[in-house]
Amino acid sequence: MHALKREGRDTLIPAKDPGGEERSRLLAVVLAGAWRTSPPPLTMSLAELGQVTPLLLSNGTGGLGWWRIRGSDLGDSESGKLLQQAYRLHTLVAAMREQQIVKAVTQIRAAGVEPILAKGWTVGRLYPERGLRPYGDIDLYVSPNDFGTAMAALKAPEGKALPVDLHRGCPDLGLRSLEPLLIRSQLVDLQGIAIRVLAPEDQLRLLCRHLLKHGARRALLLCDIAATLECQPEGFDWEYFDYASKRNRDRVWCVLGLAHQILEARLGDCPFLAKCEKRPRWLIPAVWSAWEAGILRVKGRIIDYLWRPWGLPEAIRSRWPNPIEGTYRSGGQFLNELPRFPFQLGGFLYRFMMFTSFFPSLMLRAVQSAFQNQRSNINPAPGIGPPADA
Amino acid sequence: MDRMVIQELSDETLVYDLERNRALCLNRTSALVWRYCDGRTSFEQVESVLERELELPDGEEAVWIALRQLQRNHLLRDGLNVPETAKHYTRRVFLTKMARVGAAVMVPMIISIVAPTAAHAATCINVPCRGKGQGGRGSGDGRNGGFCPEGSVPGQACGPPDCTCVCKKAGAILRCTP
Repeated sequence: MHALKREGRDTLIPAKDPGGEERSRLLAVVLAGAWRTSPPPLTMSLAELGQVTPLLLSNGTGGLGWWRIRGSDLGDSESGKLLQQAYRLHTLVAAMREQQIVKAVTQIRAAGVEPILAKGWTVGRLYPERGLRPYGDIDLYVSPNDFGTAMAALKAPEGKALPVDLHRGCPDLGLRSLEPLLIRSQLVDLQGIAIRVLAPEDQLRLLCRHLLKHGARRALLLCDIAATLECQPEGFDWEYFDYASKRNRDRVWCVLGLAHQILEARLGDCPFLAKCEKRPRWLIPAVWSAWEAGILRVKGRIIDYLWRPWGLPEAIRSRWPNPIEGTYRSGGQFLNELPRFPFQLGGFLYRFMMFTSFFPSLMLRAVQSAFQNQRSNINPAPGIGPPADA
Repeated sequence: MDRMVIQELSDETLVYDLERNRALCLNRTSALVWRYCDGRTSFEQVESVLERELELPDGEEAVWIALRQLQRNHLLRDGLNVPETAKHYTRRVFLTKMARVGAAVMVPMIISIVAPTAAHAATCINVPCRGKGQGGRGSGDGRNGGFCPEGSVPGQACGPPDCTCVCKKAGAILRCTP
């Protein structure tokens, strides 16, 4: 059983465990079909459920785990109770998020900007219940020209404290302009408000690339792909989906193939089944490792290591891309059996280049915050400090 | 209520108190009583609703217990005046009474919902203790401190015959201890 160990002062990294791949396989067993209204019954021992529960929780799939075992003996176990708590919490948070979405969209529209909502709620509505698909923030996409106006609207008192992740264009789909997506977007109802969402084909493309960008670390993202595949509307344009994916075509089909192979997602009337079946031998083991490793929560900014250079090797290690993320970020080919290390190195160097392009502004912010800390030590706030007669 | 987010599920009601940053889960009985705390429904009406819908033999006791729990969890707007005749009603005694007639699940209950973490779940493994007879380690997965298997009793052995571990109560959980 793996434990979380503290590496240095700032990071928590899962310790390696020889049973890691086995646990990831168990995770896949639990999640297979879990997004359906009536998922298939789960055959698993109590011990196995206990082993996989930490992964279910760390991957954001606690609610789905509960959905799979509810009503069975496994649901009454200690693990089942933990998963049920996760489900309950996700349900409440999802309800709050819906209210926040309505507020955020109303706020931005009042400023004359039309946003597109993607990921999060737009995928969550494909699941049988809102508590099955947790999301931490609200992804809104606006045209680059409207970004400043939208940001100002969200900074107004009514828009503050809304967990909005505002995107300029749609870089995740390689689009600077939002026009191609706006033309195909649709309006759906949320609490009486019409919310603009991506067309199903664009949503699926976005989800695939989002999963690759994050190295497939969260099993929940693969469940999203599976749920989207099985809930696609009539007339889903597979030709457009294939064409629009362009140079990411092979990667995107690999992801659909993963959802089918690992989570038993049904591909329906997809005319490109042969493309889904093509995948390199390294890919599935990479997914098992990614799930076991989970999301690496790195505290502290890389720029802070300028003052703590002894922590730099650890900082690099915790940011090292896995084979999937490395191949995606470096623009490498997925459908070959070449070793992944060069692509991981390429992916890391890509991130480093992005960091250096922001280096001047990051340095300025670091110096400003260090200066502010220094000033507060010299000049304590009124009321703090020894009494006048001490 | 503006300061609350409420979600009704099939057999429980979830409440998030935005003011206190607390998530609560009301079972069916508590949720039903809360639903009728609308300033218009009398105590006797609530009592008869419980007796009718939940087939509770004693609605009065259940309503008072539920009201006290609701007040304790800040789910009632106004204060609660509990009459002398109802002050002796306790959830524990009511639970014993209801358990005898197989209606324990109807006892009003409000629990806090706490986010379970992967670290917390890592010690919850639902496997029998391996104990000293198998590798000389403590419990469950070969490490000390695993959860006792289902059905374990505090103070008693919690594993197979060759296991020397004992189930010890640590707070609200039972730990397999060498």
